[in-house]
Amino acid sequence: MNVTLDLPALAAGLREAPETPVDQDERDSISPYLLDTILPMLERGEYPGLKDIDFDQFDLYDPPRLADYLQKAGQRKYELGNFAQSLCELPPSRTAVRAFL
Amino acid sequence: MDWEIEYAMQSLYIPKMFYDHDRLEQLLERLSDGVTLSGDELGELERVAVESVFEDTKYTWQYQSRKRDGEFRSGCDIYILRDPLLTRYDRLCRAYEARKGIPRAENPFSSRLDAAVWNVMRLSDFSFDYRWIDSTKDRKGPKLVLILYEEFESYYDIPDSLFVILDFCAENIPELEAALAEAVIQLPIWDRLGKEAT
Repeated sequence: MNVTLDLPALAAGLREAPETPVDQDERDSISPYLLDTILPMLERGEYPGLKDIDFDQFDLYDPPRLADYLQKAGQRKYELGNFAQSLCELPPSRTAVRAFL
Repeated sequence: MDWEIEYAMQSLYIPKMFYDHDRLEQLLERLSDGVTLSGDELGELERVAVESVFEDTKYTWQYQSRKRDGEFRSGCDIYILRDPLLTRYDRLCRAYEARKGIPRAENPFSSRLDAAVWNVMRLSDFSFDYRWIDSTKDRKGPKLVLILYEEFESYYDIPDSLFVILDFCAENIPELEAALAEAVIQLPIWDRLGKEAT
């Protein structure tokens, strides 16, 4: 089956799309303390002690909410990567008329 | 998502529960010094948390045993959990039953506690069992017995469930005390001939 990409339409859609990330609302619902302080430490392989945590800075369900957010973000990244890979693997096909030059 | 980050989130959730119940210091005292959010320490945190919610918690490990049909039953963790708040609620229930002259089965407050325990003990893992025993069956007082088999993994769920039980008792004791105060024993009325009047 031939795959046809409407690149002008894709470019137009991207221009119209809002600048905010697709998960901005979900990100806004998570404690900034967890997102901006704890998460970067964990990503660097640093594990703060329980005695050093400021438990006032987040609600009980913020940790599982953050875990869920990261899982969804990871899934989107994986699917986007698969899509990009599929595009790269598409062989070019000839057109009936010279397209440029 | 990196598994270490997920474990770290669980390691935040559990002490946060204790913090919200003003019990974080008790939890930290029972943990090893310098416990961190590392996944390597999550197991210790989960097990200590289970033992730290109810004030009187006894733990034992029961080794693998053979059942009567010849099959082996896996080893299991057994927790016997008692708490003064639960005992207080239970004693008020017995007092209410005595005052109203009703059996336990007709006491709505006992039924509510039964329902509360049943609701929270529906954990996401099937490799466990529990027994809710009140003072009508154990003279030492009410207790919750948790039996966690070798395959059990959802230690994460247990502290939350146990706190819900204690919160239930704390929230409903005032109503039970008020009901007890209002319960009046209906005395028979005797006529002049010493017969009970109708």
